[in-house]
Amino acid sequence: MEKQKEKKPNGFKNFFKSLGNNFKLLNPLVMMQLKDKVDFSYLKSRKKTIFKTVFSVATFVLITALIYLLFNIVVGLGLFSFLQVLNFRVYLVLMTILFGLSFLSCLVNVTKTLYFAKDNPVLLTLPVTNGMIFSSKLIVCFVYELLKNVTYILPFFIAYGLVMKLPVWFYLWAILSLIFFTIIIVAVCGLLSIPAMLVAILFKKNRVLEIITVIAVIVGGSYLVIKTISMIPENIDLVRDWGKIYWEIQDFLINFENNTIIINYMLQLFTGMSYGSYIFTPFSTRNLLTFVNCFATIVGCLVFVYLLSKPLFLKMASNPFEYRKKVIKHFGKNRKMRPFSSAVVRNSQIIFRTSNLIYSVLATAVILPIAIFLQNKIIAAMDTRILGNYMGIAFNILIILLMTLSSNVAIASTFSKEGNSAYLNKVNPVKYVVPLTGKIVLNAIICVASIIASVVMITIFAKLTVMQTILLALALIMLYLAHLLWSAEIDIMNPQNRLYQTTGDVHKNPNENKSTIIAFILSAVFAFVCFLLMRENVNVVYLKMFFISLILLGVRTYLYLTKIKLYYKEK
Amino acid sequence: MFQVIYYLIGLVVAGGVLALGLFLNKKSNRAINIGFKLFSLLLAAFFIVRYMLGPDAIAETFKLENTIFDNKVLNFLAIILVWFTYSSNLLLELYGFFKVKRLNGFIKFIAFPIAVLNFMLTSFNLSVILGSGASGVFSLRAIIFAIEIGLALGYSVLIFVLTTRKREKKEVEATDNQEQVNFEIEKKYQKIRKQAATNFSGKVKNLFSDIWFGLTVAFRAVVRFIKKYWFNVFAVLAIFISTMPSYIMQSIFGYAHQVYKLLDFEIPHRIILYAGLLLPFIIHYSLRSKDYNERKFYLMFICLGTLLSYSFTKKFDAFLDPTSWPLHLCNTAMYIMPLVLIFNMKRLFYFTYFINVLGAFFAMLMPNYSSASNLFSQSILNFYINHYIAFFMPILFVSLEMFTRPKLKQFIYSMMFFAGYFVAVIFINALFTGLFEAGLASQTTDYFFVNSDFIADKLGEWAERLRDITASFSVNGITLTFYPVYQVLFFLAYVLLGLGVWFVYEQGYQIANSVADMSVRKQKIKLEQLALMTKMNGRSLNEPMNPENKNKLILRDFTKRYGNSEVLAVDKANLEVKGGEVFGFLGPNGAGKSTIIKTIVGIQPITSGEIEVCGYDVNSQPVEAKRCIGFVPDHYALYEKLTGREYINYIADLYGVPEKERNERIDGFVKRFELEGAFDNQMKTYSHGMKQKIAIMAALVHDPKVWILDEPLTGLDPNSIYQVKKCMEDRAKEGYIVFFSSHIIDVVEKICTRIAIIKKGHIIVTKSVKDIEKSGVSLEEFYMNTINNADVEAKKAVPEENGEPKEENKKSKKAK
Repeated sequence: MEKQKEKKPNGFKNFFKSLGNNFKLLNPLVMMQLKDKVDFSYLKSRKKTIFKTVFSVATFVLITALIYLLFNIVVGLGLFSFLQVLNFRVYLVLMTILFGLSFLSCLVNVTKTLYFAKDNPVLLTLPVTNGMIFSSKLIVCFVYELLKNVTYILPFFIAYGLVMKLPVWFYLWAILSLIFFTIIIVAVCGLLSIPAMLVAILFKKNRVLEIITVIAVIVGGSYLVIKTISMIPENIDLVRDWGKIYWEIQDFLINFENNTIIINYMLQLFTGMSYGSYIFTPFSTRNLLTFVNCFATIVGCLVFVYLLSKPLFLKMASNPFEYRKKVIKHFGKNRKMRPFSSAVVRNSQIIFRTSNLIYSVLATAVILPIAIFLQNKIIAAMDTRILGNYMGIAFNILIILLMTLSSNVAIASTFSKEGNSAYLNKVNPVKYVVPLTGKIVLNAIICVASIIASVVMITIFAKLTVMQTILLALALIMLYLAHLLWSAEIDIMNPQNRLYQTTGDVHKNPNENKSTIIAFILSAVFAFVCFLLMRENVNVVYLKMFFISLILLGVRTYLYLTKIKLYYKEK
Repeated sequence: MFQVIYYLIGLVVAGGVLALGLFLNKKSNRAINIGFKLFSLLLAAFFIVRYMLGPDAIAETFKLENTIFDNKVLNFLAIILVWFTYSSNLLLELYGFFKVKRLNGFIKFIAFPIAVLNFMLTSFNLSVILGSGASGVFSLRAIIFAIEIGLALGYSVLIFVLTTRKREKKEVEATDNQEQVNFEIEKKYQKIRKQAATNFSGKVKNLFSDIWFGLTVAFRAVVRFIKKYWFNVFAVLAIFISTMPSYIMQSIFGYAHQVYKLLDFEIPHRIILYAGLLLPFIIHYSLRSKDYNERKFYLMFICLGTLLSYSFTKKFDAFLDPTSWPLHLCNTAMYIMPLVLIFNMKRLFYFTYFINVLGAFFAMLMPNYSSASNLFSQSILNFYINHYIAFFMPILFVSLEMFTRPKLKQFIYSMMFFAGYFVAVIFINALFTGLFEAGLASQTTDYFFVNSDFIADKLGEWAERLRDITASFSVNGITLTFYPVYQVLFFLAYVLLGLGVWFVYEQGYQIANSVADMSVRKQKIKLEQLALMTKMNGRSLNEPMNPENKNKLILRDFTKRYGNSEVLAVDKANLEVKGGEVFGFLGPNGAGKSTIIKTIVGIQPITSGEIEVCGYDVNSQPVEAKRCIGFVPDHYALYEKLTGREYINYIADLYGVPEKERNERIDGFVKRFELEGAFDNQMKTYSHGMKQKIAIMAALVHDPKVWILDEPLTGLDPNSIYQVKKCMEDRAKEGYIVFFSSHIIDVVEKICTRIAIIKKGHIIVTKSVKDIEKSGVSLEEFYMNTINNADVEAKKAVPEENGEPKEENKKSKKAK
């Protein structure tokens, strides 16, 4: 007994030893999942690492510079304040939107990572405690969210500091605040992921309920947007009415501040600033109280997350609901179709049964014409010169292309997402192009319809002739199709099937990144060229655009077909 | 008097060169080669000295009028003669260092007649170059010119005499013959297809096929014609255009109309920009198939020829004035380009590669000329010749493999070089500006535009403000002024742009590689198609290539290598499975079983060898071969969002199964595999076994002649295992082939008629199960003995230059 007593280490030491051991186990667990979620492959090559670092820093600096420029313009024009400073209430509106977006994205990420990730059952088989697996999942979410917030929220803090000419300490404070903010949203989202997961399961079980909800949201949203758009007055003269508009904006800002007290206090804590104060004072009584409240919220949320989410996580990981059988009593019929029609129909069925795919496509289809309608309504209400009209049309083209081409980003992973099933495209006795093209037809049909609707909107406001409308619509459709085929080709030439065999949800698919960059460049260049051509000769601009798109579509179609023929067998 | 002396000098030099050349030729090949080099260098030396000592008098001509001759025709001929003399001299100067095709021809048909003409018109030439009456007076430049004429004459006559006309058309003829054979095969195939068509739709199809065939024949004839003569046209144009003096347009035509300005992206400016973008492509595609020496010759000719043209305004006296040194980067490039090529100066080259191209491109976009800039003026032509070369030559040097593609190291070196250059020009600019202000220099300098506000003005007010921050130092009464913030940012911006340019280059090279690779692959497919047509000997391509094997699965020397793997996954596998057999495929994990199966069904391409399914060649008749195969993979990956019925119908559609047969088969399978309750549910709700059953149904829905299964029994319940085994036996009884891989030896022993064992990519034994039983051992014992005793190693694959794997046997295979 005495010997046993002697061997037993003291509690304090034991605690730190076990903490150290736990950390040793947690570290590889977190790294393993992070590597699956974030692409670190560039670290293997010095050249790629330098490129990546330079590119990331340049992007960060560029974003910060753009925001700074925007803030400076706002301050310079005295839009929201007669004093030469950035109105804190305006900053509050901006940051509320950003925090909201960050929160939504975090909620989706946490819910997916905790309950719907394919690697959950695999992780349970590892020789670590369930608590550790759960903790590692939360840490992964935290790191991922932090990286995202550093990219998108930190520039707003820095730009604010530069505009307000705040001391160096502010920037250090901002970084700490960002970490603190990320902990808060991950903790809160961890808790809210339970109802989110239950809603997701409910929708998965009741397809009809899901469809009704989505339609209701789309119809309701569209109604609200159209109603708001129709409220825009016919003739807007900002210069003449500025006095009235200025005070209406101030009223709105005060109302907003009063209705977002929690975010207001949090922002005061994060920036050490408040409305009417122009000195950096992070250590005020209010900030201390806000900090205590936030800290308590974090602790409370984490305790509840651990108590409520962990058992649910384990239950979901060990018994996924997908395998619950549902017996359908009616029997379908066998129908013969042509191979290509069959491929289109079957792939459309798959898309319609995959919520995020169909919603993203439909969202583009519905939102785009509304956005164009809104934009043209505003432009029409303004008194513009010829150059302004040209800019308006070019901007319309830019918006249409950005939205439709962005929807093609999903195509850049559509074949990879088949994972193990990809072999089916190769073993059937038809040319490869048949099943492959069958997968992209539905997207094409929906987006083409959306482009046509959007061009009709432009025509109504810009008063284009029939021929100009047809040429513009054809040019945009061909450009869209060219990018669609390009995105598909990227995925065919560089399939990432293995990425989708583990977690089933890859955030950093290189093909999607490539497609996004191409979409952005194509949209910007095409809109800019269109503007330049309009300045040169407005009569033939649509014909020139038509031919440019035709050439691009021709080249991309040729490459798509040729590359499938020449390379797909090996992929 | 002097006129006769100049003639005599020319004649004596020519005679001396000829005599020395003939003497060296008699001695040895090596001696005459050294002689050629010597003559080339001598000619170059005299030509350069004569050229650099002063301008050509004829350059003063404007609209064919000058003070030398009253006659416009004479002036025109004089200009053309000077131009052609540059071309012929450069050809002769490079002759000693390059042995390339067509060069002898160019010497005979260009350099030789021009040299003779120049000698005959020595007096005329002296006036053209040195001015009116130059032949009547003594001058050093005239003597040098006379020696140059003599050297060119003697050297070209020597080449004419020594070289015999060699036909260099063997390769072209061989290609033509191959094209003809291919054409004949296709023609024969079309003819037989036409005869075979009996119904109306077949005839209509043939009509379109004939029209298409006719069009392709015509197109190919045109392409062949262009291919045959293109390079000759390119070479002649390259020789003459690159040596064209920059004053030629204004001398012949005068200035073009004032409307034709090369500014503000107006039409003439755009045309000249498009030409600058198009030219590198033309040069690249003309030279890409030539050998290294030939590519180097033409690139060097273009660089030296354009340098000649450019140097018209940079004679010796220009170098005496530091403010006229060619230190603007694009000017420097004119000298760097031939230098790096002659002396293979890599670091200097990469400096140009990253810095010059970008600068030249910007300069072409916004030339620093006044609005009076005229399309035909000498300064404009000089400007564009200079910037064209600085813009595309570095890219061509890499794309035509004179230099390798740069790595990070080269980029860093080039930036260091750039830093040195930048600091140097900043100091030179500051010094000469200081000297000018102190009245000690005639003008200021603004090399690389880092001294003046030329660039800042184009960038806007913000840049001007940055430039306003200055730092001045006074040394011996000379004030040196620097613009630290502006100049540092200028440098950094250029480095960043250099990085951007690198990225653009890489993208460009990737596109070029991709186009080249596609072309090679297309050619390969075309050849395979032709080979198939030859084998089919007029039969439809949809028929089995070997009808006698229509109930067989055959592997002949099948070899498989994955990507650039060092070892072969399968090495020369030979196998023949007949209809009615259940063939078991055994081997340890990673032995190559799945590779063989995946290649038979079309998931993987064949590296070498042949695979035949029911008489169809898997490589050249893949669709027909796949129609005969039903495949069950080793995993149950299906489109899980579809119901079982939707999925099976999709597969049946791809195989074109008629509705009646489809209904019968599907109903039969659903009952057999007990899927009645779940067949119309989404497959994501299925268990592992149910998914496997769906995969089996999908493989059999079209009633295939060959049923291939990769580990089919994994995860199935006992009843389903029984059903699958029964199904396999039934199909074999019907005369079909069942080919499956498995690790469950008991099952293989019970249902298989024959087995093959594979280890490390080698099929080490093929035997009937009955024979094994007769030998008194179980299949399990036989398998273990075979695997343990087989002394085989995976074969190493060494890639050859053409990309095909070269196999190197490590150990011979032995099966015991």
